[in-house]
Amino acid sequence: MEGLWNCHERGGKILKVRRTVIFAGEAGQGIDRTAVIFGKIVALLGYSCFIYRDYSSLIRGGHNFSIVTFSRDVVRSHDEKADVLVALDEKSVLGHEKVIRKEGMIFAAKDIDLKEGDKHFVNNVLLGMLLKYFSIPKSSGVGILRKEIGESAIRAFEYGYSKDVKGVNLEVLKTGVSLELSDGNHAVAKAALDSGLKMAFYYPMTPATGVFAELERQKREKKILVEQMEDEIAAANAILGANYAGVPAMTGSSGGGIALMSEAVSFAGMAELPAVFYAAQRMGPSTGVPTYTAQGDLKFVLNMAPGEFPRLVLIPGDEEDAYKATREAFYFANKYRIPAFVISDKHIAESYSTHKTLKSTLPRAAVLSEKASDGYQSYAFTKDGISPAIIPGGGQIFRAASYEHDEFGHTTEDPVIIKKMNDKRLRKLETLKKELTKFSGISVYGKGEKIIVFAGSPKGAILDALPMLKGFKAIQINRLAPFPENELAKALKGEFYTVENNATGQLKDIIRENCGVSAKKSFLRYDGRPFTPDDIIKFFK
Amino acid sequence: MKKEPQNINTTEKNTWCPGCLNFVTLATLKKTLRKLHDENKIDLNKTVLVTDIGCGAKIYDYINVSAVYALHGRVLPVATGIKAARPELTVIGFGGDGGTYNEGMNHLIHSARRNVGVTMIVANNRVFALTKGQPTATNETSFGIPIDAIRLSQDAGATFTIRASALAPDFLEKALEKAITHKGFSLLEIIQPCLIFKNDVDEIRKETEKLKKAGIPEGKKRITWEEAIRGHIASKRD
Repeated sequence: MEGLWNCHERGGKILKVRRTVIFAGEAGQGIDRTAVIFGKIVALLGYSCFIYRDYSSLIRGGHNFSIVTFSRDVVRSHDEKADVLVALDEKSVLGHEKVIRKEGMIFAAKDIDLKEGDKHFVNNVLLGMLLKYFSIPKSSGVGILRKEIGESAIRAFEYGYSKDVKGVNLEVLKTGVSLELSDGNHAVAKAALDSGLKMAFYYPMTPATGVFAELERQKREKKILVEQMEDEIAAANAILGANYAGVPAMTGSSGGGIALMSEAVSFAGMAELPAVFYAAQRMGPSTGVPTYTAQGDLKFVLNMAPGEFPRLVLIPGDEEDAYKATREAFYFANKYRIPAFVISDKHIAESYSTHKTLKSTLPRAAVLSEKASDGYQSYAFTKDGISPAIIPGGGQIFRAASYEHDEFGHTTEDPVIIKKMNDKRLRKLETLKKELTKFSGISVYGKGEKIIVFAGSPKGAILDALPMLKGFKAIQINRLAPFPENELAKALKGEFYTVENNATGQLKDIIRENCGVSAKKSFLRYDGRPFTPDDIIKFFK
Repeated sequence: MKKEPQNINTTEKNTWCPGCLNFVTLATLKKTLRKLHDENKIDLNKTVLVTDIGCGAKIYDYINVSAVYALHGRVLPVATGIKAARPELTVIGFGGDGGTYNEGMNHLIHSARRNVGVTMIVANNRVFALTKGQPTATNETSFGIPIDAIRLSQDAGATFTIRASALAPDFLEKALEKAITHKGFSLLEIIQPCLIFKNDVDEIRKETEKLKKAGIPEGKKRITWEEAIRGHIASKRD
């Protein structure tokens, strides 16, 4: 198999040395947890790390695995070939041994002699052996385990570390930069809180649930309300109620759940209520493959909901982007009184990666007042289209209507007012576009004549493969609506290709619709799995 | 001291059919709200009306308080969001039998279960009138058993439920007073004929007599949702 490692192995120009460990076993054996703890340990040593989680839709049993790829260079993706396999069950050895490199190592639970009562600590014993293999100081493991699990785990870990394991010597880096390890859902939750979120209404659906689980975890400390509603329709309408009353609120779901929210999206557009929707895609259509990734909902999110109204659709490519996009979604939704979407997918939502502290200089959602002068108009006709909102309670009447309405919010069927109000709403789009010129709609990476265009989670694999693709640069589209057509058209001089996690090349269509140019070819993956750098190299070599 | 609210009437043109019983409900609701305001039981400045769509929802335009004209069937989740955000507001939902019992039944059951402190008023004429008379879930001519939403929401945990009638404005007024001032979830159903599509006024008159005889029940006491979540949330933006 061609790839990054081979590039190193062949003694050619070493671009990046990446090491990969696979943790595999049954659901419930602590695969994910052990992988994350290992990730935190290498991150503490100064390594950059990415963890891909592959799990089935079941609670106990089955076969799950996490792939941890780490390097002294920035790692944004995982590799399929691995150096070490940590196998918690027999099936995992059989399932993964073929991807372990010749000089690699397999640590299997079956080879460890443990008393019956200690068997559930076997993951920590294996972790001890793994650290020994990489010559990572024992203290690095003990420190993290004490914080994350407790003393019982440390005993098992030390037992593993005491075993006679020969391996490679992993250099301890002193970068002085402390990196955080978290998944995309965590970044979205953090951004929501930093934006001033006070309420979240949701209905659980993989892979969006992580955001709300994280908010639930923090709700007491942050004094926020996180409520699981009876369905997604209720969740979406409840955030509109909260936002009407002046409290920043968000909801989110995946494909089918987002579909149920579509009427409320249209309501937000018409009634000019701020609303933030987190749309974490999974493999569809329909129930699809719940725990696997895809980018099949791009056109859906762009076009869902009846009628014409301004909306913001942001599409981050990794944790840092997800943080930034969510902050922007809150900022613009509240300022312009529009629905805003953050599109992610299972790969961003649930993969872990190291990154710097997430922060943004964008202001929090503005505080609204009960006070307004007499004759206040909920939908005042303004030059920029933005009608200042108030909160009910101060004596002035604040109306919000799903029905077409006049400037006071009273329903209307008058053709003159219908057109005038439509124009007012759409004027917000022009104002928004003007302000968005200060926010980059695209990001350009590398130099080259030929161009790889992508949006969202293929970012990691593409950027990690890019140094090995001579003559190519990559362009990331950060926003699908309003589409950055001028910015992209200027940058798209020459042959370009799209890389997409879907079966029909939706991004290719979106670019053609907005810029009038067509990608030469779209490289598509739609087996529920994310791209790896090897995939990208194979496409373009 | 409470600020004098704006005139409760609006100048919007009323488009109900001549003689519609909604006029009775509108007048009674406005009268009750003003009375409760004057008695210091509510503050009209801090009252929010959330309406469904259709004939009944037009009261959105006819009562001059802060209001949301919501989606069909989705009054209660919007009202829940408002109540959570600002528990000090009096939140009144207004819908029909179609919106509340057909399209949005899920929300009725869960709002009752949650005991969220909003009042849901349902004008029940047993038809989708504005779409020209199709039967709703309370209509005996649709196949199956008509829904008795009062019993159903009691089973779901509603702490105050009452069926009143647009043919008995005095009784309706007392019912409205009790429902709006009740702490916790209250459902007030108003039975009324649709003069155009379901004019069974004799039957409703008989039913009205029974309801008046049954009187107005005491509400039950149970912790409300907004009490349960208090302390978790800061009610204003920071």
